[in-house]
Amino acid sequence: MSTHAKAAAKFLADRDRAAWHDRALYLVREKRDRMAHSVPEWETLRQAASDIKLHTLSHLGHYLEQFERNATANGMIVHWAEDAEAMNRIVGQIVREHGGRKLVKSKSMLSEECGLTPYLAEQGVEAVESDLGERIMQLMHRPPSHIVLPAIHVRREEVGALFEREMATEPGNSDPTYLTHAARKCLRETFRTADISMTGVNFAIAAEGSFAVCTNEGNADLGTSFPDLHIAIMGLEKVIPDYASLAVFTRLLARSATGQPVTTYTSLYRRPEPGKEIHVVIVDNGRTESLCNEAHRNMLKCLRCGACMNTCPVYRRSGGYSYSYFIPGPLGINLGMLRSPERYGGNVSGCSLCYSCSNVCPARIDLGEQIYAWRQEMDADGVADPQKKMMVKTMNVLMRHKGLFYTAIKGAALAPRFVYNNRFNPWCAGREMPRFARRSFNELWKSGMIDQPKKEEK
Amino acid sequence: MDAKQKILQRLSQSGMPEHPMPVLDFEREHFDDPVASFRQAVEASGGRVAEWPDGVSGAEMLTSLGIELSRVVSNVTGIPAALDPDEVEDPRELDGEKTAVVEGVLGVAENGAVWIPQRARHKALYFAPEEIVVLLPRDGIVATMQDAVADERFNRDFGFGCFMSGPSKTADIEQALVFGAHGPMKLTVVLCRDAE
Repeated sequence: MSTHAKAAAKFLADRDRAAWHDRALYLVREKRDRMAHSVPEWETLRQAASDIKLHTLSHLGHYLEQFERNATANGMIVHWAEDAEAMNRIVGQIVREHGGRKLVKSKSMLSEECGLTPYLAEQGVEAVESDLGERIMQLMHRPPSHIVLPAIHVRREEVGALFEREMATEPGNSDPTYLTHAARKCLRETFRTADISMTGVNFAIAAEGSFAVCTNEGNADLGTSFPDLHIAIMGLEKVIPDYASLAVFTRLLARSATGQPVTTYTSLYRRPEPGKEIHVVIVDNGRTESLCNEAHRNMLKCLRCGACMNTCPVYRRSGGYSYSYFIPGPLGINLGMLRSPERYGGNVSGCSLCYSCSNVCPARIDLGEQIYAWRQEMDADGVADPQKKMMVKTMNVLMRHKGLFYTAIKGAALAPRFVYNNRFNPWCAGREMPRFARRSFNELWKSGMIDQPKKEEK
Repeated sequence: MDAKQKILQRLSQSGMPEHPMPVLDFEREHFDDPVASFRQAVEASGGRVAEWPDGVSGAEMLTSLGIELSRVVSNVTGIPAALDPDEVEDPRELDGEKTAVVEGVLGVAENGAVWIPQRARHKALYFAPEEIVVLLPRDGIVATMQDAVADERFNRDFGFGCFMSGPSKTADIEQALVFGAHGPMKLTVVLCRDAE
C-alpha cells in the first residue's frame, strides 16, 4: 500500500467526518463553477493567465531584476535567497537588526515550505499566525490541511473546545460567529503589540516595483498597519509583468479559490510609510531547478488558489494529511515530486487520473497529465511500487496473449469466489470483487446471443 | 558570486523556449447598467450601497446611514470628523469603535471592489476601525478589473492602495460565513456626485 493509501485509511476511519469533508469541499467547488460560468470570457482569461505566466517564466531573470530595480527606487529593500536556510537566515538578520520578539504573520505557504516559524522560535522570536484558519491550526500544533482553507478538516466543536482552553470562551459554545469574534478580540491584542509584520506575496509587479497581497479577513492589512517593519517573502515565480497582468489574475484567483468574484482585500504595497521599512525576500529553494525540468516546469504557473484540491475526488475523500508533502492534492503531488521523488513518491497513487484538476486550474496547468507522467518516470528513477509493478507486468503478459487471457477469464468464472475475493487482495479493502460472468461478452457476441441494434433506416 | 547572481545564472540556463507576452485585447464582460451591477456585487459581498443626494450635508448623510458622528474619523473635506486621522501619532489610536470615512476612486461592477489609494498618514485608517464608509464618485464605476487598472484615474503613484470589496470576512470554521474577521465589520459605499 502507498503512503497515501495508508494515511487515508486513518482519515476514513471516521466516516462522518470524511463524508462531511467531501461535501464541504464539493460546495466550494460548486461555487467556483457558478462563478466561472458567470464570466463569458472565462476560458479566454485562463488562456491569458497561462500565457502571461509562460511568458514571465521564459524571462524570469529580466522580470525579477526589473522588480528589484523598481521596488528599490520605491524605497523597499530587496533580498535574494537561494534556499530555505538562506531565507530563514535573512529574515532572522532583518529581525535582529530591527529588534523585537513578536512577529504577526499572514498566511504564506513559503514560510511553511522553509520552516520559518520554528526557526524564528529558536531565535527567541514568536511568530503568530493571524489568518483564523492558520491560527486554529497553530494552536492545535498541527499543519494546515489545505492551502486556502487550512482548518477545513476541523469541526466547530473542536474549535470551541480549543478556544475555551486558549481564549477562555464560554464552555460548550461552538457558534462560528461567536468563536470568530472571540479570535478577533484576542488577535487584535497581538496586532497591537507585534513589533514586526510578515506577509507572503500573491503577485510582484515588475514594471511598478509593487506587490499584491490578497486576503478576505484583512489580517495581512491590519498586521502591516501598526509595526514599522514589514517583511514580505516570495517564491521567485510570483513576479508578473504589469498591472494589466495583475487584473487578469485577480479576475481568476478568488473565483477559482472560494467562488467569490474577488478577495475582500487586494492590497498593493509600493512605498513604505515615512519611518517604516518594507523588505522583500525573493526565494529560489529549488524553483530554478523546476524551471529546467521541461516536463514539469508548468507547475511554476501556479497561483496557489487550491481549486485543484477542491475538485479532486481523492483529496476530498482522503483529507490533506493523507499526503506526505506539506501541500496536499494534485498540486502537492506534483510539487512533492519536484522536491524529491524518493521522499514523496507515495503520493502519486493518490490520483484517479480523472483530470478534473487540469480542467479547473485558472492557469491551465496540466496537473493530471503531469501526475501520469511522474508515474512513468518513477520506474526509471527506481522508486516505483514493486507490488504494482509486478501486477502491471502480469497484466501485460495476459493482455498480449489472447489464449491465455480467455483461459484466465474462464478460470476466474469457474474458480471458487474466495480465491480472488479475500483479504490478501488489496482491491477488497472496503469493497467486494465483482462476480465473473459464466460466459464472457465476447463469447455471447460470437454465438449471436446478443441482439444487434437495427441499423437506422435512412 | 552572491545569491542574486547565482539565481540569475541558473535562470539563464533553464533552456525554456521564448514565450511571447499575449495581447490582452479580448472582449470583456459588459454591463448594461454598471451601477446596478456594482451595487449588486457590493451587497453580495456583505456591504451596502447608499447615495449622497445633492444639497444634503455630510453630517445629514452620515446620520441617515445610522452613523454616530462622535465616532467618525476622517480627513475628507465636507465630512464632520470627531478625529482627524492625520493628527494621530500612533496608528494604534485608530483602532476601536470608530467609523472611518474615506475616498474611493474607482468601483468595479464585476466584483464590487473599490480602489482606495492611501490618502492618509496611516494606512491603519482603512483597517483598524470597526466600520468603514467609502465615498465613491458615481462616474468612477467601471466594468472589470482590467478596465480599472487601465483607467487614467488609476494613478500609479501611490504608496499603498487597496481594492476593497465588502467587510472583512472568514469561513474558516466549518465554511460558515462570518463578517468581521480582522478588518472592519461593516462597509458602506456612498455614491456621490461625479468627480469634477
